[in-house]
Amino acid sequence: MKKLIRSMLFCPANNPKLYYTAPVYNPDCIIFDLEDSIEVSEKDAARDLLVEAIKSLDFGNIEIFVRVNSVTTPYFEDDIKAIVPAGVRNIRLPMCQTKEDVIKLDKLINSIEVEYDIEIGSTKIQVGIETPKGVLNASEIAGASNRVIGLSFGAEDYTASLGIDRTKEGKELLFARNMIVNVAGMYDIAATDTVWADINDSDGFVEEIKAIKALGFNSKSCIHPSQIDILHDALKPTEEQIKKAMVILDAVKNADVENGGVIQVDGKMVDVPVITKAKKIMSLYEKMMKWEK
Amino acid sequence: MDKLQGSCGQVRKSDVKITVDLDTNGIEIIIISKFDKMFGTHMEEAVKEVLAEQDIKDAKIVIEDDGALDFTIKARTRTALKRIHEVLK
Repeated sequence: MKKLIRSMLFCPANNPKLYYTAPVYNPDCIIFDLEDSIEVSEKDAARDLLVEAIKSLDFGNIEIFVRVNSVTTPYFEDDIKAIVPAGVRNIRLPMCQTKEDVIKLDKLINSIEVEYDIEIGSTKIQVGIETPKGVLNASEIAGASNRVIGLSFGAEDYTASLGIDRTKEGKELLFARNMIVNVAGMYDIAATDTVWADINDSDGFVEEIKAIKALGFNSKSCIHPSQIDILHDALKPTEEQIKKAMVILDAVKNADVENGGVIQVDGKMVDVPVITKAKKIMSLYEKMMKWEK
Repeated sequence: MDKLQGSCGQVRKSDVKITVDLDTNGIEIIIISKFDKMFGTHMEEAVKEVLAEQDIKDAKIVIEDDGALDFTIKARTRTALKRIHEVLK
């Protein structure tokens, strides 16, 4: 069973306090940031603190990601060379624009895994799609390495690249979001939505979660602990969805339709795609129940 | 700041500012912290561990602490030393 990942909580990597306060809020993932939230003069300090924390602290079943600096910066190689030997196994590569960006990271990780006798391929990559070019190249980016486990959308840089404002309604993001979800579906990898910046507008946050859930996103980056429970609740399948899925799967048990054919359940046609959807809903629900225990 | 001096960190909750001066003889550690009585020895050990790893035998270290854990003290010490080495390159 794949690990349940709905929330990815950003924490600037140079703040010591966050290493032990962030886990208390029980996000599915913590993403320690070496990129935008760290001043240039503190890049070295943040990297060293992160390495020491990773070596010393036990984060339990919270998945740890690190957002490194992009491949075009002078910090990129130092970040990777420090964090992979320290034990980081999930890297978010920001501002990814071409497959060459992923290949560059893949090769660097590979050489480090060989040097430090780390299982080859155990370090995974989540690519940050944050520019129009990245959106259009998303498919070749996702297919550039077997290490790629997900795509994450960054709306702030994306709208900045287009020279447009980001609205709460998010119409301007629709094309990029659709593209990311579609590519993630094609490669059977995760699609993680962008942050909701207005931490005081929880109603707006819930509306956005409903909208991105309907598009096919299954997780979201968070910038504040208060967003975690709201996100987890809003991503839950509804009672109606769960009930319907249970009825379908129960009916399927007594009919030979899992590999083809059609049956009727409550007057509606049930075939393989409907069964697949019902299974996905129950799988998500079961994972959530297990996680919440 | 002298070429043989480097520092890292801030005096803020859960953090520590470490200042290293390599222009000295022997190891001298000065602790400025309200937790000195309870954790002073522990803080010293964390710094000494990093110095020993790097085979440094002459250093004056000032620890200005506000409740930092071990991993922070070690990390800030490492960065302060790296910053000296960067200047000396």
